[in-house]
Amino acid sequence: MALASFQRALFDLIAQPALCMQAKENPGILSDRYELTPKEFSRLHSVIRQKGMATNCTLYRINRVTPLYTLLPYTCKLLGNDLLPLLIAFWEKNGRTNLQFKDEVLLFARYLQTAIIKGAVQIPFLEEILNFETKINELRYQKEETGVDATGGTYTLNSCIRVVSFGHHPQTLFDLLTSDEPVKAASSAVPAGQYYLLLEQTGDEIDMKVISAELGYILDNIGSYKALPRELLETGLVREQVTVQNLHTRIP
Amino acid sequence: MDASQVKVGLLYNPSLTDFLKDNPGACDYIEIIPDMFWTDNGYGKKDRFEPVSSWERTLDWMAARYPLVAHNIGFSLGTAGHFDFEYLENLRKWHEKYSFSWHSDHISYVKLEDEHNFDHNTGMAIPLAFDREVLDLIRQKVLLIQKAIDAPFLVENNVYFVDIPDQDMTEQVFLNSLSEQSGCGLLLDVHNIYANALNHGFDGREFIREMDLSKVREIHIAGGNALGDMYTDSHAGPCPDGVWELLDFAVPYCKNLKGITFEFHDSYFHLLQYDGVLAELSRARNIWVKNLSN
Repeated sequence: MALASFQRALFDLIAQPALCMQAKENPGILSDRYELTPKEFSRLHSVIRQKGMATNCTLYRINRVTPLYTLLPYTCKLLGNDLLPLLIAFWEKNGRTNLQFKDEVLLFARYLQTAIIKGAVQIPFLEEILNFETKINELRYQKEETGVDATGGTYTLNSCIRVVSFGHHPQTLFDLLTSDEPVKAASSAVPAGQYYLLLEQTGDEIDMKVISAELGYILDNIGSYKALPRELLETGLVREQVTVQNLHTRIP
Repeated sequence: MDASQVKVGLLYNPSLTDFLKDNPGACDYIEIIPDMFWTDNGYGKKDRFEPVSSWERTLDWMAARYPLVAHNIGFSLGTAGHFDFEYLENLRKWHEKYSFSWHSDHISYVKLEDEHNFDHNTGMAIPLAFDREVLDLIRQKVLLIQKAIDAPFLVENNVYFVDIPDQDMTEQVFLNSLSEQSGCGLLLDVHNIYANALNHGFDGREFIREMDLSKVREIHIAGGNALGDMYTDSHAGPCPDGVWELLDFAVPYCKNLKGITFEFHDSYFHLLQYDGVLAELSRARNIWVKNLSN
């Protein structure tokens, strides 16, 4: 399995510039860590000293950040200069990835969410924008037919619906994020308050609209309701969970 | 061969969806990277390959209008110690559905395996040493693919930024031998040759001269850009002059050529726009037609 070990070593050196630097100083760590033939050792010894290795390291990072920039663009914009150190820590913790866009973005979103909850990252609007983009991605990647919600509540949102709670006026916030203005400087111009944005997937498009705080609260906490007004059920936003228990009640 | 057999294609990216609708007939076939159209939930998982609905709708739209070609990235031909039979089976099913004119993958590795994880993606195509051991490894995988899928299978020459010393053979001998021993065709990526020639200081024409060009079924052309000290295969918009020169040089010798495919990354569409894409396709077509009599 020397070839497999050589391939692992070459990858690790590309993905971990610090290891690459360490191996330049002390090549012995390569034979300590990997099962290498003398020829393979000598190849790695040569490769880490070539200028192309820096290109490999950079391309690896570009390819890992691409899903995040593509699917979490506002989150990345809000992180600004905090993004790189956060990514380095994220990559260190999650070195072995399948690099599927959906999974990579979910993994990073969870990592960032934890950092926000712990207070390690404190940036205005970040939490609500991360939540918004995560729900957009849920819709983007969900199957046509989704199964029963695992929460086990009486009601769930229709599979093409998501609701996002905002602590600031969503449209003003989006306008700011799409403008060239520095977000921090203009942040006081975004009205604070409790807002709810309804996301609805129709075909390849996702429509968005601000809904009333009353409706938004109900939809955002839909799993906790045992009964809902008929008018709401008729909107198509909500569906009744088909569980074994309520199947029994339906079968005559 | 006559002019009716000259076929130019595009490697699909999302920026082309509107282009293809607005410019019917601009290209003769569409090449897709099947891996972009599904989410891979992981080795051994039930319903592992989950199509992304919106992408699948686009694919079906294209399939109804154009011949399709599959340019895979997930075989990871160079990975030692593992062959992904589930991936092969999924592609076989896709081939049944979409009747791809041919399939291809790269001479590199993008996945690593360890005791418990077959899904570790390397994040980039890592180059291989052109050794007899690697040749044998890839030959066996190519034979399995060809046995399962009833369509030609091609291997593509890779771009690389580091030179692995003390290899058993040159890249050209490696590719020629692989084709000879397995019966696979070659996908000559002219831009990769251009990039490697620039970065490693060799003559691209000399490289092409040493290839068995009768095995070339498809040619890739693309643009790139500089990253630090290296020129990369970033598919950054239009092809540089050097790529057109190499294409012009290679085409007369590629007697079994079935298509020239222009690749660009969707983030560079703004450099091309509709006219730019049409111009690249037209230039590729003209070079091929001009060389038909040679």
